[in-house]
Amino acid sequence: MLHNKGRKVVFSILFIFSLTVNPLKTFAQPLAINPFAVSYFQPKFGINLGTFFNHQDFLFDFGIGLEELGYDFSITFNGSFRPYYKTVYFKESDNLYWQIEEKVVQFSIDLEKRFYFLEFDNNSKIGLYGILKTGYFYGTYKGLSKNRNQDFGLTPGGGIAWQFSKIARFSVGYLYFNQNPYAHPHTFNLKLSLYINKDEQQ
Amino acid sequence: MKNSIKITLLAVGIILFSTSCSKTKDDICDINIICYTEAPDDLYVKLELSTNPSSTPIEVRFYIGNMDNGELYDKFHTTNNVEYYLMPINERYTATAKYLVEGDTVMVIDSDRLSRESYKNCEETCYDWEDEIILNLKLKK
Repeated sequence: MLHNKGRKVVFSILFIFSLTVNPLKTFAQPLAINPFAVSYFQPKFGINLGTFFNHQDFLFDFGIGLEELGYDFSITFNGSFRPYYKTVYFKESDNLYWQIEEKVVQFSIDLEKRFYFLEFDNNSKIGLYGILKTGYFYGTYKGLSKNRNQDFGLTPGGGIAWQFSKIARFSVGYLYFNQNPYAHPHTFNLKLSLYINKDEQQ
Repeated sequence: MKNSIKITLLAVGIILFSTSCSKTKDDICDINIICYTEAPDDLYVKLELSTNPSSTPIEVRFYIGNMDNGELYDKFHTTNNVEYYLMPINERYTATAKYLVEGDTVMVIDSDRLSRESYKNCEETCYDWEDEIILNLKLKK
């Protein structure tokens, strides 16, 4: 059942891509643009879904919030979680360790600023982005009623953003996820952002 | 309505539909299905253990509920790799096993809920359950 749901989610995401991507148009006539130039204020409602992962960990990340397309920034509320239990080790005291199964969760306010430097004929754009997740992290453990490793922290990151249509953007980058105590902090970050853009036909 | 709004709503709708509308056992009516109308009151909790690297018996504790706020049900030492308890369903059970590894004590903790599912088949309530839950108390390193 879980496997089927996973397949359906992947299918849905691929289907969304097929609705929004037109590769023939996307790579026509690139034009260098000033990455610090801004337009007029264009706030939109947006959702995003993504993941950050490395060889030791994997988290899903979902968010909703403001997508500003004129000044190229976002402010979103995000929830991230590890969808499976991972075996970790606590040092409880001298010579005593616990081997226990852990899931982790983080709620964060994500601030992202993008600097586009290439624009194509159909207004798709490629640039760099910087992100800062300000959030509350905690771990839940099998056999313990209380959460542990609660931490308010900052998670900085950056990478390449590709706004491939007027309603969608794909980002690939790096995230320094150092709140996570039992995994390497350096993670890859993939994210698909969708927003409602009434100006699409203009 | 502009295309972007349509596509965004369609995309969100597809995700919600595809993840929430899976056909479940609630939808079926098949007279050939074996339907257990009586649910078990007790099922097995299986504890799986490693051999203690120090070759001494392992201290095992078994809790009803969580380790930190549950009730200690049993405590014993064993050299067996498997132990069973027949316990009431709809409860969480937690077990711990203490190993001696190179002078350190490693306490392995695992927990799960013993439960059964029910579903409707042709207006009849049927029950489904696993014969046992496994608490994995094996050392992983």
